[in-house]
Amino acid sequence: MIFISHKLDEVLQVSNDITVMRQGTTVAETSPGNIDRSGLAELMVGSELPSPAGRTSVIKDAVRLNVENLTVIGVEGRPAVDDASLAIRSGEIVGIAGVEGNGQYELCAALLGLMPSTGTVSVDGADLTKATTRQRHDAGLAYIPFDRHREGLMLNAPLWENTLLGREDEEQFGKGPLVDAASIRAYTVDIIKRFGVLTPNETTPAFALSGGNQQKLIVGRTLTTDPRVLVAAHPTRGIDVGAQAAVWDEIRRARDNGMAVLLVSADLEELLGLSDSIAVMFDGRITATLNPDDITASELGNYMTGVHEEVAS
Amino acid sequence: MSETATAPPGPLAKILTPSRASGLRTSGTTLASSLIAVIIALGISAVMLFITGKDPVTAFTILTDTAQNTDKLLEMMRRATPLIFSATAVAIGFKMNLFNIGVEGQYLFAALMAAEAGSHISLPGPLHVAAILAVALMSGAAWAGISAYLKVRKNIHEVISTIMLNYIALSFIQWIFNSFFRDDSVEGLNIKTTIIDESGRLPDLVEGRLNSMFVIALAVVAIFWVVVYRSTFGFKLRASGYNATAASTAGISAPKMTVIALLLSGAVAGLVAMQSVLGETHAYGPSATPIQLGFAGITVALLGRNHPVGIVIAALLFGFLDSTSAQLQLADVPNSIVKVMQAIIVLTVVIVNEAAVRRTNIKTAERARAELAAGSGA
Repeated sequence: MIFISHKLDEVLQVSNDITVMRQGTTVAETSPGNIDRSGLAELMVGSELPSPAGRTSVIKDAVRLNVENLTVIGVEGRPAVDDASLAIRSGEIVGIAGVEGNGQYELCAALLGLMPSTGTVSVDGADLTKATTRQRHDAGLAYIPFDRHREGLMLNAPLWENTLLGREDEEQFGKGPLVDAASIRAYTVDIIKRFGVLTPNETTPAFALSGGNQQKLIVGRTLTTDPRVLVAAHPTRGIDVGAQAAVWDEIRRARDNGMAVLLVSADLEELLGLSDSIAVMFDGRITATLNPDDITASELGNYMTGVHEEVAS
Repeated sequence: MSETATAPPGPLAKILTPSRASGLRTSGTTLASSLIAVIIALGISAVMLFITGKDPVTAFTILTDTAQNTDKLLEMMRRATPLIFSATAVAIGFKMNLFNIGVEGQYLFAALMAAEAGSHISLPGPLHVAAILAVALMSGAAWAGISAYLKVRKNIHEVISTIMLNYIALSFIQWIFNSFFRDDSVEGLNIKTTIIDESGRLPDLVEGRLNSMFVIALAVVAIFWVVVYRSTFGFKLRASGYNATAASTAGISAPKMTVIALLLSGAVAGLVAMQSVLGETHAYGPSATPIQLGFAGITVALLGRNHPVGIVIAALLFGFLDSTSAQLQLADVPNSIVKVMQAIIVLTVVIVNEAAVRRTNIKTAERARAELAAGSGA
């Protein structure tokens, strides 16, 4: 049987022989006994593998995102997010851990003004509780969506139009009422270069790109707005280790420059490696706030399934 | 980058440059596949004529003769004019996946309002015509606006509301026409609103054959092209059509776009019967004002793939087939065969184009992979 995956643990568990391919060619042949996880990853990326860890605190005192008593009523009429409060400071990454469907999506959607909610949301002191999605973007709140195909991309449109999405009202991309296509195309070429998006050119439709390259384009278009606060949902879900490292690097770099990050992820390694603190969501509530240095993945799992609970003050 | 190097100089450059190469490639494929589809459709029609005991050769001789007759070609353009408006109206909605089936009601309501208003106004020539057109635009938009309100505020799907508003429009028009707007001095069956003064008429391009409304139709299509494909507003419209969830996640307000798109669609729909009101009958009349053009517009928009150039070509094709129907009937080919031919053309174009789009998409993906593989060695 031939088993194709970028999930390294799966590959190491099920295979007798492993062939590593990179950009269409075979770069190595090995077997699970002769290589470990990180060695395999390095072969896949072609260079030493950056890990999510390597945290150096750059947190400043200023609170950038402040959320108080946020409640979102879900489709079944009961709270999907129940009285959640969060404060994220400049240069801080707060991870949200939780089994999917415990209110993470609704939390992000409410922060972005995509779902009605009660409670208050402010960025750098500016109250955004009643603001529209576009006004929140303009206030510096940026979003890497859960599902890039559903919420992030126009798959049949060229990359440069995908870069323009959400930024079409910016003066630099307009010429009076018309779109300044030359300007947005040049801008897209810059993103392609800086974020290492593998694509023939900026007129290629988004569907022709691999998931990792689609994600790099989304991250590029989001981070080049110099957001004050980034809401990143599964920023590296379903992408290969190389793209994953590139996305982590870019998020970390923006964080170093003072961006506050709310990181929602199902990848515990990513959460533990990137976050300065981790809030656990269970059944719509934030049930614990943990220090990633003091906790293992399996302990985190106990919090996520509601075995442990430590209501944050 | 070669396409940037060959970009046209001057102020047009900005408008013409974006993805010109891929754009041309796509339009080329669309045009080629549409032509193939029309040929297939003509083949099926020939078989059908043969089965029903008519002579396909005679029928096609009539078609080719008509294509060489100047008067007939002018008639084709005249018949195409309202179709261009109604197809453009439908296409504006389609661009953001809004299905405006209410063009029929919108244009008939607008025709009555514009004709009635025009008969009361006295202004110098061009202004009088402009005023009538303005009333038509606003009335069409107003009728479509009801559906926009129902969709945004009451969450009623526009397909339902526009269909129902067609019926309401017909009854409503009949009622106000008979109760208030009808010119009682006219006797018999040919009842109309009061005839519009000379100043409120749009001159013919070719006397008795083609009205200058045809030029306005082409202008509207050109504006449609610039607005939809080159403006920031058009980008938001297309983005909402490409992926509504991604558009609203990016902060493009779906309710706002819905309202604007339906109002614009209704406004253009308001112009459908203006060739009749401004250039032919100079009034609204239940039997004088053409009907069914709103539904035909849906077909033409579909055939033209909601693209401005496609819409003009499709409208001309339908105008051409309509203009041959009299000759065909003289040659004992019933009018229904012409309608069936139109339907077959639409079906084959849709099927062939769908196949072509799928093939183009696969090729684009393959080309992207090939170019990457070639580039990764460097």
